[in-house]
Amino acid sequence: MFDLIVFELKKIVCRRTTVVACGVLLALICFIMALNVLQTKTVTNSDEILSGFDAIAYNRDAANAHAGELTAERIVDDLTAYRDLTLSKMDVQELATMSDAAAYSLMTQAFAPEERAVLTDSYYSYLLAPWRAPGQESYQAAALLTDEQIANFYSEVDRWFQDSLDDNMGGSWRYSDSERAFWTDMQQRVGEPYEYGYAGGWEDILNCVAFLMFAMLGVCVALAPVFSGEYQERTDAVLLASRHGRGRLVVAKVVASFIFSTAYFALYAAVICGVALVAFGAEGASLPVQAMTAFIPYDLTMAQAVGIAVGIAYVMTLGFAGLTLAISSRTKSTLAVFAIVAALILVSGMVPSAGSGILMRILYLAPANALAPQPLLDMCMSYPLGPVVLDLQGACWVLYGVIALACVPLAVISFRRHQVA
Amino acid sequence: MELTIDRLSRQFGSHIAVDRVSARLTPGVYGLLGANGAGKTTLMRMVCGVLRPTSGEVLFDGVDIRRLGEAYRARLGYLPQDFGYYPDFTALDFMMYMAALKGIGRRQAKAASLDLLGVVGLSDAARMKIRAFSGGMKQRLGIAQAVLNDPDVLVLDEPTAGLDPKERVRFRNLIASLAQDKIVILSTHIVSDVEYIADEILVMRAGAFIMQGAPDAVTSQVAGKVWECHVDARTADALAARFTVSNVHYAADGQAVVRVVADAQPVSGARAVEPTLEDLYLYVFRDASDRGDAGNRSGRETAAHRGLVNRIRSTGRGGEER
Repeated sequence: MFDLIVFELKKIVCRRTTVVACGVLLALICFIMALNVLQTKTVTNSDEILSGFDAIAYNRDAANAHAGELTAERIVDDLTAYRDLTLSKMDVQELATMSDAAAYSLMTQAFAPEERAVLTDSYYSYLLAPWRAPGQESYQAAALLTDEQIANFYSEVDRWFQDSLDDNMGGSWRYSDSERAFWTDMQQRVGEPYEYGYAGGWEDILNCVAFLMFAMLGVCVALAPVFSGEYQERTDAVLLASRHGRGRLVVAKVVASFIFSTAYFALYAAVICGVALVAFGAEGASLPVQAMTAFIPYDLTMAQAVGIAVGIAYVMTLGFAGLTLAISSRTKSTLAVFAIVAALILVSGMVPSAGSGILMRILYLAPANALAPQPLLDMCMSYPLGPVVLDLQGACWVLYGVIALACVPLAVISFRRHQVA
Repeated sequence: MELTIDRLSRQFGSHIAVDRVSARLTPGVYGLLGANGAGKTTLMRMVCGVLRPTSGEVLFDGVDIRRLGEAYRARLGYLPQDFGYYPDFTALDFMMYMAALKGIGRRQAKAASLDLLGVVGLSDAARMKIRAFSGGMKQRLGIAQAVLNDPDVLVLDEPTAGLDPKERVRFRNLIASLAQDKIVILSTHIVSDVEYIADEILVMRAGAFIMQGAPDAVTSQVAGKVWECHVDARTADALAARFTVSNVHYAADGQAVVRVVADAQPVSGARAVEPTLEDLYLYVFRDASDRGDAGNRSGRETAAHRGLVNRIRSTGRGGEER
């Protein structure tokens, strides 16, 4: 059996299409990740534009300047000082009625560079998120805050979260009572106080983890000919007439396919995680995911969130590997196998949901959508299955796990029953 | 050891590729002769268990090969017609892979692989990628893999396709040496491949065995139907147009020596000569078109050919038409 697995792996790895496609896709992710580092930009408080490692270092220092637990007292102190600074040179009534562009223009005229740096600091933007309306500057929101509101940051986070559930995803999806209970329970389990700090490397991984769909494409290219190639190349007759042709060979093909899928996925994930952690830094692994956005209803650290995202991408890869094998065992055309699976991976991420909540839920199961950080952690995307509610993460685990588990026996049976005609 | 083909049929849509074929095969070399499209490959695929029959069964020592499964395949060697290879494998890789598929241990596999590659003249190319092989080299590699497990039943479908004359002779000798105590089924439409080594000839046409018996017995069916005559070139052309001509050669005096297969004397002066298997083949397939034999047979012809089978049956070595 071991020999058969090795030979099957060799068949997969040595195929020219595999070498070229997987090599190009690997080069592509290296290029994207390098670009991701080099294209990082930030504006300093002296209006200087920094890019690349300088920008990363600046952002790290800016976040670390506010690192620590966000206790209620600290939030009160920080937001009160921020509001006072805002109102020291701007009028509250004026700020309340003007557009964000006008407010920004007024702020740049009224404040010195070091004050502007404070007013545009992303830390305050983070703290003011529960009160900020869309298209509103942080200092506009701060100017309107009462002392009572400032004193109840965590209650305001809860209120914002409930409001977002009430909004029913902009009217496209009506949350059932069990869904509301599910999300409310999830959100209430998040530990307080939050901790703020720098976790640039982990955040970058979450932002880039959707690129793992290219690894899935590579796997599909490599596995498309596992069975169909035998039919197409007319090697099926001699294989199926051999002693282990309908038994161990099929198992060896499946095992070799999953070994290749795992190895290629691991390589791809290593590039994404490696570049992100080396370039942006590995610190912040134990920060809660709420360090990115206060409203994330998951009680996870940044490293755990990355682990889950990469884990989901892995089970997706196995699901698509299983699907590829199943289709491959049913058709002689390797190209057709690849086209079907590639369409499922890529095109499903490009189809608009047209405001339909059900369609949105289906489309968000595609890798390109599901692996983006917002739907995965922040969008309250749920799947009510009778009394059971699954979030997007759970739905992905179940769906792709079932696909992988169901497709493998299909492929095995299909090849075993194949008739050489 | 006995391989029984029992009323085996295979239909593809409305086309009957193999039509209730029966035979009982005991150790020996069986030459399966037939034009393209006669159903030879379909029959062999069913014998090897890679194609399910529409009806009928193949029994190995009285047990259905589908029930035997792995146990039957372990005793089977198969060279399919025109089968593919893995271009990125070396010849030795391919043999080792086939050995693993046939359940041969690694150490024994390597020794047997190198030995067989030597037998088929591929020792020097053992570590060459198959991508660089000629058609003949690939065919020899296919023959080597078929006998790797020292099979009891060896099925070779058009094994000499792509081989040059020297390689064909080598192949014939190889099969003769391997055939001891084995059932070897050798399909071909090249008569000389089986003429010297087959113990029994099975002639297939339009999905059915129309003749079956020892080469001499089969060949004797056209005794008195093969003629040789010395004629001028124009007459030779006329004979070729009217009759099945198995050979023409021109003597030094400009006269053509024409070998004709015909029921009656084709021209005055023609004398009956000893028939060969090739003459028989040409006689049987004299009206088969290039695009394939299947579908050319009329019901009347089938009946006539079945009658011929029945006449030969009693002289056959191990075969039996039911």
